[in-house]
Amino acid sequence: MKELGPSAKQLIESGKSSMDPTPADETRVLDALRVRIAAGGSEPGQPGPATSPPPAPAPLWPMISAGVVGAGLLTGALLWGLSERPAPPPAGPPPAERPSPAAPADQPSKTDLAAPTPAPTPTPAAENDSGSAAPQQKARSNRLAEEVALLSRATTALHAGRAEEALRVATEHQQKFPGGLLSEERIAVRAQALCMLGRTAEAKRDLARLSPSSPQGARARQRCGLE
Amino acid sequence: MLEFEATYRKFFRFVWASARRLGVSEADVDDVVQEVFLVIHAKLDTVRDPESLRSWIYGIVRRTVSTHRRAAKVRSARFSFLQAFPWASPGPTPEQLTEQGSEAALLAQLLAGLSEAKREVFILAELEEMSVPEIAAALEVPLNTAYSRLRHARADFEAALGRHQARERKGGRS
Repeated sequence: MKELGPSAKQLIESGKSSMDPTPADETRVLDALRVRIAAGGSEPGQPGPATSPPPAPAPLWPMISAGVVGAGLLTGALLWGLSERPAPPPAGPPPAERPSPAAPADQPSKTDLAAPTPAPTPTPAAENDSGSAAPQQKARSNRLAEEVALLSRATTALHAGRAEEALRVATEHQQKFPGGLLSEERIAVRAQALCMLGRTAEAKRDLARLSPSSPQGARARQRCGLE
Repeated sequence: MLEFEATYRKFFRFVWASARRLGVSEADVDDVVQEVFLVIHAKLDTVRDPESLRSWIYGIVRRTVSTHRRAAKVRSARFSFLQAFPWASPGPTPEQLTEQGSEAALLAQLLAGLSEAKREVFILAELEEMSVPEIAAALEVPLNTAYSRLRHARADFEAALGRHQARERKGGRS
C-alpha cells in the first residue's frame, strides 16, 4: 500500500499531539477514578457497562445539609462581591436549588455520584453515624470553598482581560465540579471569556444552557453584546 | 492478570486523544475518559490477550463516545459529530486557523475533510500508529475493509494537502 509522502508525514508529526492531555489531566482523572472505584462506581462483571445508561445520580439537593446551605449563601455573597456590578443578593433560594446546567437530569454525570461524597472509603455505617456529620459538612464546605476559589481566579482573570486564562480556569472548575453549586456562575464567566476571544457562537451555545431568567446569564449576554 | 493502574498510565493519553478526536468536547472529555476507565477496570480481568489490549480499549472508547453522543443529542438537538469537533465548531473557520500558521489546525482541517469512516482509520494508523489488523479489530470491520479505507484515506489526505499547498503557493505569488 502506498505510504504517505514526506510533507504529509511531517504535518502529522507536528500536529498529532494537539489533542494530547497534560500530566495534570492524567493525575486529576486518576484521582477521580480512585474515588469512584472506591465508592463502587465500577462493578466487575456488569454486562456492557460501556453502552448501558449510567445509573441515576443521587439527587444533589437532599445531600446538602443546612450547614452547606449556609456556606452556599456565603459563597453567593462572595461572588456578588466579585462581580463588577451588584447582582441581587442571594437571599432567595440557595445556589444548590438551581438546576445544574452541567449535569442535566437526562444525562447524569457519574462524577457527581462520587464527588459530593467526601469519604471514598465504603463505610456506610460510619457515614450514618451522627459523629461523622461534622466532618462531612466540613468536607462539603471545603468543596464550596474550592469552587469559590476557582471562580474567583476565573473572574479576576476575566476582569484583567486574560480571557484564555479565565477560560482555562472555568474549564478546570467544570472538570472538578461538573455538577457544582456554582455551575451557573461558571457558565457565565466562561461565556464572557469566549466572547472576549471572539468565539461568540460558543458563548451563545453555553448561555443557552442557562435559564432565561438567570441574572448571571443576562449579565453575560449584555457584556457580550448578545442582547 | 493485568493491573489497572499500570494500564491506566499506559493508555491514558491514547484514550483521551481518541475521545477528543471522536468529537468529545474539552469540557466533557474528563467524564468520558472516566467512563472508559471504569469499564476497563470492571472488565480488565477478562482480557486474555494483552496484545489486543489497545484494540479492545479503542472499542470501549468508541462505544462510550457513542453513548455520550446519544445522551447529548437527547439533551440538546444542537449536538452533532461535526459540531463537536473544535475545527468544525462555530468560531474561527479552519481556513482562519490555518492562516494563523498552526500546523495542528491544518491537520485538523484536512482530517475534517475526510469521511468519518476514513478519518477514523487514518487517525488510528497515522497518528496512533496502530497496525491495520489492530485497527480492523478495534473497529470490528474485515481486514480488507480496513486496508481499503486506509488506502483511500491516505489518497484523500494527500490530495487535500496538495490542494492546500497549491493555494499557498498561489497566494505567495500574488
